[in-house]
Parts: sequence; C-alpha cells; structure tokens
Amino acid sequence: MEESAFISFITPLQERLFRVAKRLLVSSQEAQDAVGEVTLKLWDKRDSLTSVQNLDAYAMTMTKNFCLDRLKSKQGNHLRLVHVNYEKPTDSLSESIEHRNSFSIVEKAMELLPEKQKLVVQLRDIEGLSYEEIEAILDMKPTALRVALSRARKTLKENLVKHHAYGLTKN
Amino acid sequence: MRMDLQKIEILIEKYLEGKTTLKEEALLGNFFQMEEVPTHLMPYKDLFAFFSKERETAIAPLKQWAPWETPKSSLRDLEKQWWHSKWTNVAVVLILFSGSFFSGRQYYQKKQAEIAYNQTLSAFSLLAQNYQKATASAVYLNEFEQAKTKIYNPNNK
Repeated sequence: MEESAFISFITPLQERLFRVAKRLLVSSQEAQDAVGEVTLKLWDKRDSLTSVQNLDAYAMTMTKNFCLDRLKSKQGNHLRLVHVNYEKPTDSLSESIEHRNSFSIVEKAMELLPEKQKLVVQLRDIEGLSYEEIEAILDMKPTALRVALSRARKTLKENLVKHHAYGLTKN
Repeated sequence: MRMDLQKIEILIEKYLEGKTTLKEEALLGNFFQMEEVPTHLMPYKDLFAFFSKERETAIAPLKQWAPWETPKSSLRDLEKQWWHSKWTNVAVVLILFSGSFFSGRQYYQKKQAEIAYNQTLSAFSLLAQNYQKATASAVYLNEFEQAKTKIYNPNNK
C-alpha cells in the first residue's frame, strides 16, 4: 500500500479507534497509546494490507484485541490497584460535582458492563456500524450479537431508571 | 404527536431487543434530541444524549499516531546503518581470516620448497660420490679389455 493511501485510510479512522480504546481502557492516555501502537503495527505491514478485505474492520479488531490484552495483563497487577486507591479521594470530589450530570451516570453504567457488551454498544450506538461490520470485528454470530446488544441496552436502561427513580424520591 | 409516541414506544421495544435498523436508531436519536419527552422516557433521553455526545468526542491527531512523519534519518537510516556496520564487520573478519590463511599457506609452501631443495642437493652430492667410485672402478674394465685382446687375438695364432 502506498504511503498516501495508508494515510488517507488511517487518519479518519483514528478518532473512532481512540473512542473504542477509551471505552475499554477508560484512561485517555492509555487509549492514545493504544491507537499509536495499532497505527504503527499497521504502518509496518502496509505492504500486505492490500489483501485485507475490510480494512476498517481489520484495524478495529486489532485495536480491540490490543485493549483486551492490555486489560488482561493489568489484572492481578497490584500496582494498578494501589493506583486506583489513591485516585479515589479526588474522584469522589468530582463525583459530587458531577452527580447531577446525567452523562456521568450513563458513563458509569457503561463502565459496569462486561467488555463484550461495552464494545457492542460502542460500535453500534455510538459509532453507528452495521451489524455485519460488528460481527466481523468481534467475530460474533448474528444471534450472539443481538443477545449481547439486547442485554447491554436493557442493563443500561435499568440502571438509568433506578437513577431517575432515586432522583424523583429525593427531590 | 400521539401517533408518534406510539411509534416511538414500539421502536424502543425493538431497540431493547437489539433488532432495530440503523435508520430506526437514528429516528429514536432524533426524537430524544428534539422533543420534550414524557417522564417515563427520560432515561432514554439521557442514553441517546450520551451516545451523540460520545460520537462527537473529537481529538486532535497526535504525533504518535503518525509514524510516517518520523524523520527518515532517525528510524530507517539508523536501521540501515546498523546493517551496514554489521556487514562491514563481517567483511573485516573475512579479510583478516583469509589474509592470515594465505600468508600461512605461503610460509608453509616456502618451507616445503626449502626442504625439497636440501633433499635434492644431498641427492646430487650422493650421486657425485657414487659417480667418482664408478669411474674409479671403470679403470679395471680396461684390464679386462687388454686381457681379452691378448687371449682372443687372432694374430697370436
């Protein structure tokens, strides 16, 4: 693949890759690094990319795998747990400020979803991809995708309903 | 409006089952963006507002996302230089090795020639000695000749 063709393929995609990476990794910094790594990997093998059928899906799959690997290697990482503990006090401050911000409520509800459901909602409801594309990216059967999507949306809805009910009784 | 709401409720059911098309989801998005929604639909308003906000999250392209902008001298050439120096080393080692091999061979050949020369020399001197002995003994052959002529001389008959 020519350098210019590669650039015009990856540049418009990077923002989307970043959003997906951020959904999984939460930290913006880590999501930036993930997009950088994936871009570099693709750049290094740009000569063989012409044989790939759906480049966008291919890049997205790479990003997803990279992030899931990251999360896996982070599990059982004691340092990270300590880090989270230290983050907590400042978090609760911003939490109280943002409490009425429904965005953060939805965001929290999203964070509670299992990884696969997070991805499904991100790719469908935020990125607006077709079912076929999501199936290709996540290597899922149509029924499995529909079930995951349905579960995720219902969970989100229930959490938001709870929040709204709470808000109503409080005021 | 009533009609619309009924349609929306049906779409929401479909949405929760994961069966809506992209078009229908866009319809829902639009509805929750523009209308004042009934209280029981407020959670969906939040949800769709969140989605559209996330979709618009913009981030300026970062330097680390553009590996093609890496100066050629810093990455590719370094790599090239490395190879270069590696092959140079290999060549130097080869030259040194073959050089010592050839000079060693030359020295060996010279030594061999010297030995052969000395051997030939001693062989020649041996030959010369034996030749002298041979010429000395050849004198006696004359005596035989004389004796023979004396005995077989037809004039003596």
